Amino acid sequence: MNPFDTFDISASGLTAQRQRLNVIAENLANANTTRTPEGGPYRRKHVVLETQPVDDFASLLDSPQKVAVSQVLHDKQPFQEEYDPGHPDADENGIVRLPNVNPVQEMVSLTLASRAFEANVAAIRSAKQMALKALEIGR
Amino acid sequence: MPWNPLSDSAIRCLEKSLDLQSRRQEIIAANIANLDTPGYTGKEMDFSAVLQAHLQGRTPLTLAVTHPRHLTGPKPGISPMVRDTGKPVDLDQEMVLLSRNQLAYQASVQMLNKKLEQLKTSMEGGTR
Repeated sequence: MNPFDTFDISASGLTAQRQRLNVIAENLANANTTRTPEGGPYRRKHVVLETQPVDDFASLLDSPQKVAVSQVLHDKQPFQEEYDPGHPDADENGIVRLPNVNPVQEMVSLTLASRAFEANVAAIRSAKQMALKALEIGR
Repeated sequence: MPWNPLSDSAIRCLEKSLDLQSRRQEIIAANIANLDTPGYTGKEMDFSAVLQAHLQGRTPLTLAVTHPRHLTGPKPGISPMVRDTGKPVDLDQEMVLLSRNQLAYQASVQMLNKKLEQLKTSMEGGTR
């Protein structure tokens, strides 16, 4: 057994949560973006996480698993519509289509992601203390 | 069998405890890392049951092998004792388990140290 497996597992959690934070930041930053290269307003993005076996093959049969971002998908909810005839991106009826980003929802996900990040940090810290304690054996 | 101070049953028990506790740490870390993974269910290990099984010399289930280099399946001795709770991960509970496990690990190390200290004292004939 490798004592550093725990660190790998928690580090994968940190990476995944950080990527999630990145996507949330992107959603928040683009909450009012009406033009994108694909055309139309910005579409909210979702991060989908999946489990991943700890590297070597034998561990495929074993239970502790790392986490990784499997996909970043677009939210399927319809765009918000607002009546603003003066807006340059308004259609002939004066309706502007705005991104389907709900800032409140994003803030909640932001908090959840940073809490999850902190939990992984705590796991690393505790694993480190255990490893240091193990160095004291027979001292 | 002559008594061998280094394979004393207390030392062997503590050694196994340390092994199991660091495995449990791994399981808890995996649960925390997969906190937001859709469809992931928490895993747990019943520490005392596993240690008891080990001390009673019960061999855990492994795959039959016809060649010494075949894989025997999950790491022997521990994985069959890892249970799937079937429930999503509860962060608070995992954090409690995490600190409990850490304390238990430190206690095991401390006891092991005391045991070794005793041996040292007897080797030195109590002159110090």
